[in-house]
Amino acid sequence: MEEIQVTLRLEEKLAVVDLSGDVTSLAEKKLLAAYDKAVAQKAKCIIFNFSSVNYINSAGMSVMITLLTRSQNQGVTLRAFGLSSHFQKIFDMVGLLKYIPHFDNENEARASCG
Amino acid sequence: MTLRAKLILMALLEIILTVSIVGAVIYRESRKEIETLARDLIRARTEFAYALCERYDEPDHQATAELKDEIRKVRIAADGYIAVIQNAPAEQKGVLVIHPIDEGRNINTPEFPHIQEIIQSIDAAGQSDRYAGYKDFIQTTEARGRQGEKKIGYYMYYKPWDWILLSTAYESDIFGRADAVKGRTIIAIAFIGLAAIFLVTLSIRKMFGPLRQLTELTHKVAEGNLDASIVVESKDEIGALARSFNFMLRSLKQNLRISQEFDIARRMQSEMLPKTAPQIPGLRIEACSLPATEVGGDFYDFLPLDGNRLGIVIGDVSGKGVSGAMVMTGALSAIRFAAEENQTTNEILQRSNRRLVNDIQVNMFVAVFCGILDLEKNVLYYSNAGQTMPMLCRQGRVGFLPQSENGDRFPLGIRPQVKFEQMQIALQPDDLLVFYTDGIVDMVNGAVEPFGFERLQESIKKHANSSLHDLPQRLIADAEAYTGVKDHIDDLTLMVVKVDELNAPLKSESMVSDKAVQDDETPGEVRLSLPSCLGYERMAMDAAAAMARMMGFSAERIEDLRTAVSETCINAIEHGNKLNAASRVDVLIRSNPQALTVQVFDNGPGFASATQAVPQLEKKIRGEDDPRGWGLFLVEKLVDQVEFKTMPKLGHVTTLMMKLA
Repeated sequence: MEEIQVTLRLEEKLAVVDLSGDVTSLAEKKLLAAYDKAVAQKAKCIIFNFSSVNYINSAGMSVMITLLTRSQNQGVTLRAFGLSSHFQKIFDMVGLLKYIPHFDNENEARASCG
Repeated sequence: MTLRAKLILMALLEIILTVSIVGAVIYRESRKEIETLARDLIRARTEFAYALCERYDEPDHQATAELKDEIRKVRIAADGYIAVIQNAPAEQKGVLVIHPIDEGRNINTPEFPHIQEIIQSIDAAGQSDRYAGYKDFIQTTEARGRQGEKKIGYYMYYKPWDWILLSTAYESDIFGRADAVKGRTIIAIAFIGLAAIFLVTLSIRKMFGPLRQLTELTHKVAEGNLDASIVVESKDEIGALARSFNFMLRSLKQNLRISQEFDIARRMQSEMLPKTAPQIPGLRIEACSLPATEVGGDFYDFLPLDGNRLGIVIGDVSGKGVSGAMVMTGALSAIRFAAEENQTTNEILQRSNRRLVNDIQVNMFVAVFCGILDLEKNVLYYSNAGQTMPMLCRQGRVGFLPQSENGDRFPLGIRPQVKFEQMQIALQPDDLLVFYTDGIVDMVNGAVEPFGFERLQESIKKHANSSLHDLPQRLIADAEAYTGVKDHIDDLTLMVVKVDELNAPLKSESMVSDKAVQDDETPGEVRLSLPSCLGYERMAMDAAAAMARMMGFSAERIEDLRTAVSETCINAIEHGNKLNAASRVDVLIRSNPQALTVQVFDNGPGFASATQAVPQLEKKIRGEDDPRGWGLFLVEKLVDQVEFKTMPKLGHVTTLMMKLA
């Protein structure tokens, strides 16, 4: 299994989390750590870049739900871009797109953060 | 406190107590004896003085200076002596006539109460000659620094001279000897005690050696080392325990080996039995086999034959356990091999028999029913080698299939030359065929009356129109209700076939032959056996995707299939096999011109989608529900059909089907 690489780009009140690899249960620690770091730096909008993600399983989606729980409690907005059409469909089936809107590219995602 | 310390302490207490009591008794007795001797001695000295007085009185009735010197010379113990006190006339009463230091002093004074008491006693007795008695008293005056010490005295009255002869000695001088005995006794007690401690400690240490070894051994055994043992020399109870332990370990090793052999046999057997019934249009088939012991002797099989023909086999081996399983696997191999080269059921059985007669032990045999469902001719062909005759339920009536009149009915493996007859019966829509081994009809109740064929027929009639899926279990439940027990002594195997429609094209994936894999136009099959570790699901997912690409599925559907297969495998790895790396998840990917099926087998108890509530994202976000639990939900949404099936003692299978548009 390809371990996930997580890179955090921090800007004023905004953070972009670039993901590369597989989003499975193994990704939980790194993703939560990146999220917490971004929030600690006062980010109010966090954008997840899935462009280099090839595989997301149900455990990986549970990790996204855990992030969502935290973000709702902390008043942080989550955004996503770069998901393949298949995983957009999966996110939609689960209902995640309602809470983590997906955009075609980073610029649109940034624009939505306001 | 350890047992050893307790034992040592107890032994020491006992020794000290015993020796102390014995010592105390000896000391007391010796003190008494010495006191008696001392009193006798003091008395003897007084009587000696009296005798001296008598002797000197004889010639001239004078107490000469010589007599007085004789008396003064007498010594009793360290500071004891004889005093002579004048008792008359009145003016002389109480004056010391003989005394080591105070001669001439009147001691009939309150300063010497014991003297006054003696004088009173003598006077009260009329001052009679030889009047005598003991007088114990306290030294009242300063005498050689011994004031206040206890003294023993014996007095005697010498009438002729009115003398009181009084011998006295200090008690401590007399008992000094007894105290010497006491000191020696204490030393002896201490010596005996120390020797006893040494001996007791030594013997208990020796006694406990094997126990310590036993403790170490149990640790080794707990760590899985069954080759460990203990060297026993002791012949006592602890030695016996150690020897029993060695014996237990040998038995344990043997039992473990037997258990492992059973496990291998069980695996061999379960590998040999079909994991699922074939999916055949127009037919529905269900089967179940419950071994009575860990390894049973019953078996069944489906034989893919050419054309629209499906072979079915049900049988049982005369033995059970490992040997039964070995014969069973041999019989199944022989039948499968024979079915590849023979067209009729009697030929298949005859050919199998020839091989089994040579292969299996003389006292073993295999009873087999072999049938061929020909779905072009809508006929069941069959031959029976000693197996219970299957039943047919048609239009509400249940009866046996017709018995062969001319052919042999021997089980396989007994006689080299047997000639079976192939029978046939035309199939009709709604026919229900029930194939079974003798396990169910031989189940007996408390009065040892078997469930029997008639009750089985009634049971079939009762359940003929209920769900076929659990019909075998319903028939077994009826037999169990009749017998009142759930523990069956024989293996139970049942196979039911329901004819739904006739003349349907028989294009099941179960009919795939090896040849077909090489032909793009015909179905193919891929098998994978995965360790139960997360990550391996990717292999199944990639293999299924590759098969789907070969079959021409769209990229989107291939992606759906990938996720569905991955999630199904994750469930099997995590929930079915509990991440036990030694358990395998078997994946069977089959293709046919209409559809692709993926079957995932695990060893778990299974799960049905109906029992799983649809996950609620909002509840999960609010933390009211586990964020996980999406797998089955996604699988059911991503493929065309999902089926869950649990096979008793064999495990669980999830079948995914994706149809080609």
